[in-house]
Amino acid sequence: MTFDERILGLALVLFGIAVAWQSQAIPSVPGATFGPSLMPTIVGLLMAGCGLSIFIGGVRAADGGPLVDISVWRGHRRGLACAVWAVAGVLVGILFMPVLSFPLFGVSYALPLMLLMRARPLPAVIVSLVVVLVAYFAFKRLLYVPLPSGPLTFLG
Amino acid sequence: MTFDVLISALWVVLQPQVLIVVLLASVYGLFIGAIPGLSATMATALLIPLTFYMDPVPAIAAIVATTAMAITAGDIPGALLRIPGTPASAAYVEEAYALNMKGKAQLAMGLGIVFSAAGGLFGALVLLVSAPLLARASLNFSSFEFFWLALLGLLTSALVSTNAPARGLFSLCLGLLISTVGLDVTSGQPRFTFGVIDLYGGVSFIPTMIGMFAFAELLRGLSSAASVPPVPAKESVFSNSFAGVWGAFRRYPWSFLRGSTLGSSIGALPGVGGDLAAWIAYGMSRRFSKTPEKFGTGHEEGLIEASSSNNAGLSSAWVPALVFGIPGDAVTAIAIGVLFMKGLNPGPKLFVENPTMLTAVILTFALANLFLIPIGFLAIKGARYVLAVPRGLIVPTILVFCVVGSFAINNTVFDIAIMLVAGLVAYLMEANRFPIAPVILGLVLGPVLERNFIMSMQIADGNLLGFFSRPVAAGLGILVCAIIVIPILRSLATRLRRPLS
Amino acid sequence: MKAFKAALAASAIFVGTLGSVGHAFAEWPERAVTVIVPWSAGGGTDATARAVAQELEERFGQPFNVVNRTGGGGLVGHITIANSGPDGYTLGVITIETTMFEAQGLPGASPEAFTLLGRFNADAIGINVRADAPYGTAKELVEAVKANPGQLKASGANRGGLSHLAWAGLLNRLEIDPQAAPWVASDGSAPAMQQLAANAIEVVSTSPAEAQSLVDAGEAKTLLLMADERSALYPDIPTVSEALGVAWSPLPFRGLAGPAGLPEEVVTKVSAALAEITKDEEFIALMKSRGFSVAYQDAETFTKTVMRSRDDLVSAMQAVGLAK
Repeated sequence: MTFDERILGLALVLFGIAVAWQSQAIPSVPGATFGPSLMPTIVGLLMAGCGLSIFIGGVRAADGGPLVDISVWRGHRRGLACAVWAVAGVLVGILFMPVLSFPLFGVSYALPLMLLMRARPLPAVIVSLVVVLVAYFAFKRLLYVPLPSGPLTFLG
Repeated sequence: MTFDVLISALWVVLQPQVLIVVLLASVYGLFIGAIPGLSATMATALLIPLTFYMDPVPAIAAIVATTAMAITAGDIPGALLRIPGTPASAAYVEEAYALNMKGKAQLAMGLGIVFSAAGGLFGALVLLVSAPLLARASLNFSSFEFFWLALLGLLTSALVSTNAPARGLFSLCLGLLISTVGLDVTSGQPRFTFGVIDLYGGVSFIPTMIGMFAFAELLRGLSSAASVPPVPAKESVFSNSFAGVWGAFRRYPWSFLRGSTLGSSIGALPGVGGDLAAWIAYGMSRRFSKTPEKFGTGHEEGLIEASSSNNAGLSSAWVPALVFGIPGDAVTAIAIGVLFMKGLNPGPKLFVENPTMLTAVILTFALANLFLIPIGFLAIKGARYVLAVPRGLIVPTILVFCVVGSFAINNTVFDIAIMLVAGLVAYLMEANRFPIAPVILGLVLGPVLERNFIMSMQIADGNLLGFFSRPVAAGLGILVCAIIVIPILRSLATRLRRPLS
Repeated sequence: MKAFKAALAASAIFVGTLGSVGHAFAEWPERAVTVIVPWSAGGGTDATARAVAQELEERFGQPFNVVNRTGGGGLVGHITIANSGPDGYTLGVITIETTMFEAQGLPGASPEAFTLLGRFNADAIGINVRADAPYGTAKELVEAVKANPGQLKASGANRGGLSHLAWAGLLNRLEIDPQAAPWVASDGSAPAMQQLAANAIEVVSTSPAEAQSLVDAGEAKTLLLMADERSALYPDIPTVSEALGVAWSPLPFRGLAGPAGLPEEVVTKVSAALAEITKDEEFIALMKSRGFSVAYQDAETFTKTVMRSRDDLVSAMQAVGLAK
């Protein structure tokens, strides 16, 4: 997904200004001369400057191309479906992994994605199960990372 | 140090028990380091209970070997999958991945391991010869010098991405901005947290790195803009994993020497050294290179310089810890605790009272780095197969590890969300030709820059001239200003020469 | 579509094979415990916390991983402890700053937010200067501050932290404006000692233990201990009343705590273990070798100490203009 330089530049200018503006609201401590708002303000203004430079470059080189170019995904349905699954799956993981348990989430995230990416079913089932269980036990048992086990209490 | 101290120290180190501990610790470090998202700090912390039952030298040897191997092994997923292991290795991960894309994955990993080991040996040698001297020098660094060093580190990223300065600067600023999220260190005020408690401690490094490099790359790989690393040709089991490494060394010996020297000197600065050295080394390599245009396209030079400085810095990070008991990072803080438990109290007295033990500890650094080579050799052999697995199986597997790795740092699903957002942002940035490495650099150096700036301003009562009032600070300050001003003057000069073109 | 169906079927089989097994409550701790330290690696809180964590690890047979969550003058770490789940798998070390946050207008980390488990260390704060400094005693240092108002800079922690309060309060007792030796906010005592050694600041107010390695190296010296009586570990360092003739002893503490509402089982076990640890010869020797005292208080006494410190410190903070 590629944006026209002018739109991009303008958006970055607005973002930079918003950052600098927001920084003014950070309260400083009584007695301190150089407060916590200094660095974000400088950074925000620099960002706006970069945006302006990109915008000007875009105006100079305007070639009448599309404002938003999504050609890398057009005609690439399966890829798009995979990408949507990859992102949405992580989102589901963030929201439900504590209830769902890591092994259940892992398999139901990885296996469909493997099949969508045209892996053969048998290797996909085996690999997803092995990867998820190995990751689960390695992290939980050897590295003491408390991955959620949810309803799978027997896994410990 | 006298010769017989060295001999007796060697005798302490070359015991079977020490050698076995180093071997096991290296293998353990290899596994931790090769899993994206697991850090050397975590590996060391998990090792502590085991060190209870060891003698002092094997205990320290275990920590050193684990750290060195974990950090070096982080370069393997870096080269193969574009997942950097540490903030420092983010400096050269693009270069290694580009080499992989050219079908030279083995060379990329071989360079990483051999020059890490060589840099580490160099660092150990420096430690052996000049630890007290280096420590005294590092004590002369105040917030003024740290500020200039941090700025120098930031400028190197400007050197690295010269073809699109506005975009590079924006990426850097984004990193700096992310680093301000959370409670401000000096005042305790929340910044950009929007009331989210999880953000009070700031945005974590590792999930951000995993998201920006790995997740974004996987998303791009699903689109038609995909570029997939070629599967390496079949070869015999006995072939040399390090083919081409010696040739690279003969072509760029100065890169190795410069990187190692830089790493050992900057690495000795408590708190900032480790993360900074590789970035400055990479930037410097490009500056002094005869072929700077090749950087970023899979060129050996920067890779050599940055990986040697990375491991050289690792050894010298122990200098302030051993000499003054000032730990530079969490790993050395843990190690100091172990030293105290074993009755080897760090400090200047240790050098006088127990030189043999101290020398033995330093020799374990050399030993750990020597072990990197055979174990790294085997690791590269195994890593080849990662590229031969069908994409349909490997991509979902990496995604699962992205999720687990992000979770594992603070044991919270919030960090998975950080990984996801960082990945989406980085995908959009790359699609619009913004470089990613400067974001990580900004994130690493932002707090260093800001804290030392605020401290210095308070010391100098707000007088900017204070930043030039100390000799070393003045030197560094002039260097930084020159790096900023000279290119501007040069471009002005060329413009004046051709006023009508 | 075929792929999707196969995937669904596979997931269904996977779920189907999982029977639910009754949950048996294991004894705490059945896995690793995280110990959050709100101060930077290498400082006194970090060093003592790591020593305690190692002992806990030996006693409970599970790892006690020390995690440094620094920032905001300890506020980040304190809030992280207070906001963690009260399941006993996240504990932390709290310091005297917990009694001061609220008065500075920083909510979320007051003593009520914690389950206090016991105190293990209480070391008075000292005044440290460079070894080659022109002042050899605390009195000479105070004269130098009076003679050059605004010139000598002090540090040791964040603005408003206990180190700052100790220094400002000392000047206040001596009827000197605290601005005569302004405070430089730092991330903890380790970076402040680095600044002192590098000759960028003149005074560091921190416990003698945290200055010890640089004192041993001949880089720094400790002039004064802000306590009522001399320390057994540092018998040569004079107290405030001996050196300057005023009384001022803001005594910090380091204690184990968890989020409010910790299970009774965890409280009993950890408190008992801490009582045992602080009597352990080996532990006492280790703490002593690093210059830290061992000062145990059980949960109840510790709670009283914390509440009393809060009352004292808030009035002192108001006196020097650090409280809102």
